[in-house]
Amino acid sequence: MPPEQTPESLCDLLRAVGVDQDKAAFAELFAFFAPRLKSFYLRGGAANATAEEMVQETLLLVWRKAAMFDASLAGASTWIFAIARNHRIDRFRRERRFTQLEDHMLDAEVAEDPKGDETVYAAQTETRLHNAIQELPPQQVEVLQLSFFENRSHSEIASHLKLPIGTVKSRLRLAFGKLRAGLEDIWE
Amino acid sequence: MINHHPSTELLLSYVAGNLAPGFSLAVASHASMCSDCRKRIAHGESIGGALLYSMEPAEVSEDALEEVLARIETGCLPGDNGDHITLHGKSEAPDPLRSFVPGAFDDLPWRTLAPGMKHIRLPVDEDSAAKVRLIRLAPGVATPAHSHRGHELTLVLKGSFSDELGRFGPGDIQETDASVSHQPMADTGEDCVCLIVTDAPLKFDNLVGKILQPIFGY
Ligand SMILES: [Zn+2]
Repeated sequence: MPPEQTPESLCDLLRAVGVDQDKAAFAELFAFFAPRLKSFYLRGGAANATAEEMVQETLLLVWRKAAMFDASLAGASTWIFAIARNHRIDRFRRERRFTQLEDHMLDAEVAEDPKGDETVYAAQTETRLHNAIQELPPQQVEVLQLSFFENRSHSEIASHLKLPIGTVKSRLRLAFGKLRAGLEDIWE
Repeated sequence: MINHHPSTELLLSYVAGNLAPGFSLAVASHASMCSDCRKRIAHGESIGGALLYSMEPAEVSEDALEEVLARIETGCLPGDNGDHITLHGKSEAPDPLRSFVPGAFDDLPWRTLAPGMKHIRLPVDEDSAAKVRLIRLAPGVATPAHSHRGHELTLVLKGSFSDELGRFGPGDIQETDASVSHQPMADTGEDCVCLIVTDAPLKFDNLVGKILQPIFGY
C-alpha cells in the first residue's frame, strides 16, 4: 500500500523532485497521481492504451517542469491538474494552446497575501477546498466533475443529465460561489 | 477600469480546458488585462486540483513507473505546445495575442469590409466553423445589426463601443448568444479595435447586413 498523502506531503514530494531530482519522491508522487490521472483521462473519453500513455507523458512533464513548481502559488494537485488539462488539449488538437494556465498561477498577485507561512498557503487551500467540496450538494459536485473531467460543454452536460442548460449553469455558478465564499479568508 | 467580465460558466469552461481555441484565446486575453479574473482562474484551477486529489483511482499498468524512470534516464522528455515563444518588441495587444499583433494595431494589414469598418481574420481554429478576427470600427461607425446562431465573444482591445447591452471599453468582454440582437457602434473619437470570436454564422437583421454577409465572410 502506498503511504497516505496529504496536500502538504504532496507539495514536499514535488519540491524534492524539483530541487533535488529525487527519484524516490517522484515514485511516491507517481503512486498517488498516476491512478488518478488515469481516471481523469479515461473519463475524458480516452481509450485505455491512450490514457495509459497520457499518464506516463504527464508524469514526464511533471518531472521536467518540477523545478518551476512554487508551493506558495499552487498546491501539487492544482499544479498537476493544470499540466494534465493542458496535455489533454495538446494531445487532441494540433494547434497552439491559449489556455496557458500554469502561467496564470505564476502570477504573484494570486498569492500576494504575505501573512503566515506562504509555503503552506497553497496546500492549505487544497485541503480546505477538498473539505468544502464534500459539503456541496451532490448535484453541484456532479456538474463540476462532468465539466472538469469529462470534457463536456454545458449543453452536453445538460443533455446528458436531461436538464435545461440554465440549470447546469446555475449549479456551476452556485458551486463556484460557495467554494469561493468558503475560502474568502485566504482567497481575498 | 474593466466592467464586463466573463461569466462564471465561461471561466470554468476555460479552466477545465473545454473551450474551442478562439474562445480560449479571448478569455486568456481578457485575463491578461484583468487581475480579478486571473484570481478567479487560479481559484477555478484549485477546484480542479481538489477534484483530481479526490478522484477515484484507476488501475495503471504494473511497469508504468519503470518505463517512465527509463525515459527519464534516456532524457527523452516530452515538450508541450504551451512552452513560451519569446517575442520581442512592444505589442499594443495583450500577451496571448502578441504573435498576431507584433506591434501597433495601425501596422496590421487591415482589410476594408465597409466604410469605416476593417477586419483581419486570425489563423486560429481554421478547420472549424469558428471565426476569430480583429475588427476595427471608425468613430461613430456601427456594425450591421445582427443576432447569432451560436455564441459570440467580443473583447475590446482599444477604444470603446456601445450597443443594446451597454458600454464596453478596453478589457471589457461581451458574451452573446442566440437570444441577443445588437448593433455595436464605436462611441468615442478614436477607433475601436476588438477581438471577435463566433462559432456559427451571424444572422443579419436587415438588407444592408444581408448584402454585407458574403463580404463579412461570416
Ligand atoms: Zn475580468
